[in-house]
Amino acid sequence: MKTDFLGASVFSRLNANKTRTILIILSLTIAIICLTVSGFISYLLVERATASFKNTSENTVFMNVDSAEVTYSNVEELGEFFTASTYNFFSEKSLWSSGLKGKSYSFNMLSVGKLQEKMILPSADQYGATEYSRLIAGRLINENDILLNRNAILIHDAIGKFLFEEGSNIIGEKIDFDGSGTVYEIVGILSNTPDILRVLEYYTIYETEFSTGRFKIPIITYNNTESTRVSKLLIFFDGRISLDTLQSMQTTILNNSNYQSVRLTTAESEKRSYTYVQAASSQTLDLLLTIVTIILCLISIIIIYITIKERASEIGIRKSFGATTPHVIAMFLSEILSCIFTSIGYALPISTLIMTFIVATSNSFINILIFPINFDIYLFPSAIIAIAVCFVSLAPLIIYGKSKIVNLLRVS
Amino acid sequence: MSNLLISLEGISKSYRNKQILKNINLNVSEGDFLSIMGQSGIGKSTLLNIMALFERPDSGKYYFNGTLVHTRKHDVARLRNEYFGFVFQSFNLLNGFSVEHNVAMPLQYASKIDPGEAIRTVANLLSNLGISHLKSEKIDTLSGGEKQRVAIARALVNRPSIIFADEPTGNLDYISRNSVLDILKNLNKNLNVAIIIVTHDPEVSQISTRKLTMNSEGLYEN
Repeated sequence: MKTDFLGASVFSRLNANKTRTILIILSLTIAIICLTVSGFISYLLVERATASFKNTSENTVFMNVDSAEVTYSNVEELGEFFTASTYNFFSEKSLWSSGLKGKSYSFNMLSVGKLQEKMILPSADQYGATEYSRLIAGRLINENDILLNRNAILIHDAIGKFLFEEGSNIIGEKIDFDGSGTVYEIVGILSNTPDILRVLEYYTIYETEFSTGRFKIPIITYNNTESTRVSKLLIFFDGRISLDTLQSMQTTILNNSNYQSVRLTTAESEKRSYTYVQAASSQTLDLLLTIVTIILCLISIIIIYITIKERASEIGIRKSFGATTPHVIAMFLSEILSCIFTSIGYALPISTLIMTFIVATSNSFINILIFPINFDIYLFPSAIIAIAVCFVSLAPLIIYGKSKIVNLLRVS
Repeated sequence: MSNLLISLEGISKSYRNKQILKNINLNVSEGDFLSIMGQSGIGKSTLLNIMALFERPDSGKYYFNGTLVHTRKHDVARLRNEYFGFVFQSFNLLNGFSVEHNVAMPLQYASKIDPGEAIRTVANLLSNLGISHLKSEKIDTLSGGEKQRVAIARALVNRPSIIFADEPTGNLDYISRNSVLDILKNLNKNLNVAIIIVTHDPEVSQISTRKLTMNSEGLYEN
């Protein structure tokens, strides 16, 4: 005989009535998954609906390019901004996806998500594939391109269809995409890569570029489409870009009817814009998490309350053999906490997988990048749910704990 | 001379202005085997519930081992746990739990538990009552007779001085009834456990050593 039947541990009690416990855990797990995922989808919908408002002119300013060259300090600001907190993960993944792992080349990644439809990967040298793209035709930029200083370029499939006749073979075609007169040969075509295990974050590497005297500046465009979706095109150039080139490129992009405006931004203004969007998204997320938490609290409380009510006779039986009100409360609270935390333990990884899958398989927009698909954000709501349920459960537990035994036994 | 366990003095109880018990006096000593008979609704179970400390009387005094029982709930719970055992007509077992868990349940609330001794106690009880093969079975799968044996084992696990049985054979067939009565008789005879049994069945009453009858006038010993 096991000793744990004496009630020494919480799980001995749970094991004693597995069916009921499993049903409670299952109900709570499903509820948490449904609400978390639906909350996430709501978040996306809200973000989509409000995205156009988040990228108004007040978020961006024209870059004050009054010299022929961009100075190093601009680049440093950009590097500091874009490499924040995400550097390590990218370095390995990007090298892997480029197929050049182990080599000492550095790579730069461009925009992700829906932006990839308008993505151009220019390559004077030292550019590779992005983490979020896969090669669907041609090849990646290789060592020879770099050694021979060949003007090779990888372009996105959508850009290829835009620039050339759909269905034609564009590998080997030459384009002057920025109007600078430099001709680049298309060596490969990229497309988006759905991958449920992929974490969609924004990564780039600047350190190597700095050490070799290379640096980049962003050119940002806002594309107001019919669906009001905001596309954001970041193009990172290698080398020093003249004002003429920038203006030329601005004109080139403006000539593309898909874009209503092109703005050159400073690192600081872009940072403000990014922070603004992040704050707005954070507010949306907070609101949704609050709603989800409240609904989950209600569901949990109802489930627990019904469970307690159903077990009124059990309370009576236990009381008749010496259990006191504190005994009853301690027993139920330990069971409730175990059920809630077990449910959360199951639900969060499943929810995260589902949400990551949604992100990876949908043509979403940039704000999705700053959605925190991790456990941390759910720990606080989970704790709130657990505390709320325990607190609210006290009322029926105390009532039943203090009820007359004969009344409780009559229930059975 | 046997020790006096329970002494009731002038116990009265009313429900919704209807007097159920009026000035009941009763002494129960070690080794007594009391049966209480009477019409339905006359107050037998109410008297049993008061003696078992499930209910409080409206007036009167309740002494246990010569001490006036306090009304503090912890004292009452401790008395129920240490000295009393209960056998109900509807068994009142914890469905969904194993036989073993049900029998051991009162030990969870005992002030001192030696796990090793508790395990031996439960095993011995199940063995003595002939249900050790059922120890891992869920209550829902047992027959009425088996359930009542489990209930008796649970009542005995804390080595009580008194067992209160409210119609313990009411839901049992003839064979199971006799088996349960034999068990109660042996407990009374061999372990000197006092038994107070409320019943409608005259045959059950026959095995008791003190036969009480309750009517609207009060409680009388035959």
